[in-house]
Amino acid sequence: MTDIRHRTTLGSTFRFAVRLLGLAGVLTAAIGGLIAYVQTDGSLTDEAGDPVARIGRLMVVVGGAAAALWVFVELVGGLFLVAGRKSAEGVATGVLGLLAVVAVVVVNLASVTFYTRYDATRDRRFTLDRELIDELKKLDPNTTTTVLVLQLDKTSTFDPDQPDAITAAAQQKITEKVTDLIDELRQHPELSARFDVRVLSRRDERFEEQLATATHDKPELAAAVQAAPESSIFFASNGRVRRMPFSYFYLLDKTASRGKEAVGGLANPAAANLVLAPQGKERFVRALVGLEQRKPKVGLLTIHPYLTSQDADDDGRAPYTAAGLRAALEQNGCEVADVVLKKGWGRGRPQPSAGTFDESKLEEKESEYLGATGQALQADLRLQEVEAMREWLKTAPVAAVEQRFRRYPRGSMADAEYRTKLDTVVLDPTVRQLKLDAEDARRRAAEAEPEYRQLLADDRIQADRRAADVTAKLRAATADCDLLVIPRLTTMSLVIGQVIPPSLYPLAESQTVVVKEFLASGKPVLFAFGPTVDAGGFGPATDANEILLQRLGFELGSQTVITTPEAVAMTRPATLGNRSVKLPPLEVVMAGNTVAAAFDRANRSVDGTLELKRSGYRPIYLAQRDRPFTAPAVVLQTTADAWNESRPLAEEADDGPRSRSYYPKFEAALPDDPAKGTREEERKQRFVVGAAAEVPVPAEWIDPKAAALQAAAVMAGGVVGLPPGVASAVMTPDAFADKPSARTARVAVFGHGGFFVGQKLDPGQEALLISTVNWQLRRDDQLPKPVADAEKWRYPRVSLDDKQRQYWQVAGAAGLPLLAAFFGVVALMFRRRR
Amino acid sequence: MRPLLALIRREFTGYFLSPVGYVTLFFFLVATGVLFAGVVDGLTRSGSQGVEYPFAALFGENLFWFVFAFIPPLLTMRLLAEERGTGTLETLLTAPIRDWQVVAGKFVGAVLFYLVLWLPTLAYLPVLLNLEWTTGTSGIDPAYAWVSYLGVFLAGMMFLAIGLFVSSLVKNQLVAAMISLAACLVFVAVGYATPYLDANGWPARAVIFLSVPDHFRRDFTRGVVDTRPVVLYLSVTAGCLYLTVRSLEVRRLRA
Repeated sequence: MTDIRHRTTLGSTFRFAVRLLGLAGVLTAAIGGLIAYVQTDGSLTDEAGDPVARIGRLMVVVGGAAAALWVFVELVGGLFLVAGRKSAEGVATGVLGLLAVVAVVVVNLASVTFYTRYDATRDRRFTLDRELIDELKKLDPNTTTTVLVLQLDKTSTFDPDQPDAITAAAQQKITEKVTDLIDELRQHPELSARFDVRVLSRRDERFEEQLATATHDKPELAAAVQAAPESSIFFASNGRVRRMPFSYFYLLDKTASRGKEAVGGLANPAAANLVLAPQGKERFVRALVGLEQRKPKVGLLTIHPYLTSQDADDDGRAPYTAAGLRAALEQNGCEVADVVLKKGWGRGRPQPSAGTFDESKLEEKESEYLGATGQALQADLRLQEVEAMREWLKTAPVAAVEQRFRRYPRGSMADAEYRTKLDTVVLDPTVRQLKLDAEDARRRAAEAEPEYRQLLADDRIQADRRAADVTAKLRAATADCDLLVIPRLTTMSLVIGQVIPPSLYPLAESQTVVVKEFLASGKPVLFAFGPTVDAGGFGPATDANEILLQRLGFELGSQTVITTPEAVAMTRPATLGNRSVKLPPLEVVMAGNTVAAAFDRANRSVDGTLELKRSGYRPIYLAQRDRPFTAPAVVLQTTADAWNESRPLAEEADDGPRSRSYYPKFEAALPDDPAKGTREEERKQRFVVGAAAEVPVPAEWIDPKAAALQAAAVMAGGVVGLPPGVASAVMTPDAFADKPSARTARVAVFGHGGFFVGQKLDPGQEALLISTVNWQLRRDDQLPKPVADAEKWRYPRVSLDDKQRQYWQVAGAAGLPLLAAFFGVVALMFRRRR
Repeated sequence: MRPLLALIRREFTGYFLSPVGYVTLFFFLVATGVLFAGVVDGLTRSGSQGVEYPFAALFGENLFWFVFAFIPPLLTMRLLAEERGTGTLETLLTAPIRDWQVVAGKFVGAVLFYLVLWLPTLAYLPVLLNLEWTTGTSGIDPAYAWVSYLGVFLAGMMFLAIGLFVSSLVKNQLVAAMISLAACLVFVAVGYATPYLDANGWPARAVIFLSVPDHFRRDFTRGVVDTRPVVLYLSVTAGCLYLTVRSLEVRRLRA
């Protein structure tokens, strides 16, 4: 019988050998590729000539050649096979199969390019509005915007450094939601090409490396990321960077998360959930689209370099600096420019000015340098005189010496002894002291000189200095500002009498006219004027700015609002720690005011821990003139136990500091008190100490004719004996009284100059500042948005009691499987029965 | 058509007559039941923790998919491999039934049993959707449910088609199961590479495109239907079924 088994022929041996070689080649190439990849850290190029990497590449080449030979031999063999009918059909089937695979790949590649996403949710929560898409499509298609999501431990600057469980949960959830939003952007078929999106977490070990990769050509982005105080999204394009904190997209409502109805209410653990107030996807879009817009500029008008927003370079200056204000505003996308309104401090009465901080610095350094140089010169001259006197003493007649030094009588001393004594006791110490003084003065001059020379060499500062017209200079300095902030810190602690005389602050007419013009143009101003506690003997404590405010409807009282704890603390003896006082926090008035509402929403995110408290407030009385405020204006008020005091400081008795001849105490006005029934009547109540309103700009500030009419009315009123304010209100023609100008300005007035002062603002200060500034700059999209309770996000909850929950869990985990097992066994038993 | 229907009926009932079907059903329900118990816990607790997308907690977890990856190989390993091993495939192929009908019959039978696997999970819906019995409304968006089930159906079809194709290539059921499992795990495990890749580069996009758990985590369980995974599932299903038919054709030619 013929052996039908396949014989081993030369051909089959050859085919085996080639296949073995090819397979070995594939394996060799794979191993060589891995070696080369590891040795070259993934780049596969090796400029340094690593021998091991070279071997790896060689293996790839040799293995690849062997595999190529294998493929070639198979293809040639396949061609011969095609000749047979069955083989042809088999090959055709193989080709069709290959084509099917290619078709699947092609279809999927096409689907990656041409795809759509259908959002089947009830509230279309994963769909960007058409308007937002259209806005985003307006971005320059040739520019790629980098969107960098930075995850830190804080999702809000108000979060505590050590977050509690709710804050930690909120941080995690907000991070997820922000990355979902970014993902939505990435996935959108019409937009994905324009954004380079990266997500970084500071907890990641590779954070620095990832940051370097993401920002290698964007140093401004790297700097912004390093300075970020909270989890943020950064948008960077064409050298511009904008930061949006996570809280701009979702704001934690910690009060509701604790199951409370309101801040200060009782927590209900059963109703506790994680509650977030969504702030809207449109903010994200606006941040992207608004990247090209310039940052708003805030002008800080202060009277002294110490009060500017520059960092305090020693602890002594720290309580006065507005550096915290600068930091908070810069973090919120604003620029801050200092304007110093007075110069010549320490050289008599300060003069009006409109200098930059650098100018003031130059003045300070110049004063230091020139002063020290002068003192050194003086000391040297005096030294020369004394040395000359020493020489004279040696040879002068004794009578002349006695006359000269009559304060040091000779008595019975011999002449030589007398001269020696005068030299050693009088002249020598003087010489030594003068030498020390000269040395000290020269040292101070040497310290001040480098910075002085540097500032002096700055052409810009010199040009600013040469400008003599204060009004023009101030106008130029504030021309490109979008908001002015004018703080007047007067009280720091009433208890220990730490005050700054308010009479240092009043500005010249040439300066207040610029503030008036600023308001007249419709731009906003934030006034923070402390009480006029102690005039200090430098002149009046108020200026025309207060008249401007009065015209706009904000009247600042002349008294100081003091609280009971402060008054009690003043009565205690001044021993260490005895004067500490727990100031009551101010109340935020939630009655429709936008600034107050924004502050309240920020406060809810930390369950009411944002507090504002200062010592000594100035009361604000609202007296709208042209037309009523369009919305409630009150933002802050004191507690009900505060009262208005004309003498808020304790006054010492002559017999020492431990006894007081006077300390403030609430005394209700007697019937015969002339202040009875007036604003000055001492009374306990809630005083308004913060107000913000959009007010019409008075017509006479804009229209010269109206201004002339009003001036005439005031004069006429003066003739008939009416006060100017009443006269202009009564006698201005109806045409102007009933039709104030159409232009409005957003004005904020606070009755304490220290609300925004400090090296770093506390969370309450920062929340108030940002809420106020954003409203004044009309950046309403950056204010915490009011969200109805039903629209807030919270985890879905299913109301099952304990037993019901357990039944469901057991039924799911065990019941259904057991049921399946039961039916399985029954089926098997049924089969076995057959 | 009648031979096709007869084959479907045969394949479908075959699952109920063998222990494999019930064992698969048992372990599948244990896995989903345990996950369901965890979701119930998240939906009923108070405090700052919870479950936002119940179906994501069920079907979006890698763990679920690692368990699920075993199901299609178990259901498909015997479909053609066993028939090849026992020699009954030739008998089937000589019957008055076309190759595509054989493939379709076995595939549809497997899909029907696959649907039976999922039927008991409908019992979870009253809790997962927070159904209000009196009004019939759901406190949780029902889109999460029906889109998730749609995705599960399409993804299951893809895995079953892969298993059927593999089963047509080998004689041994165990080998068929293991190769199918490896192929399914590619779609499940590829997502683990995502953290190591540049999110903007094409490798990351390719990985996300292939990763079935990511499709569910990002889209299906949140009520979003993205055409990309749908096209992937349908195209791979169609491709594998076509290749299975071609494989039977080659087999017939060799015979």
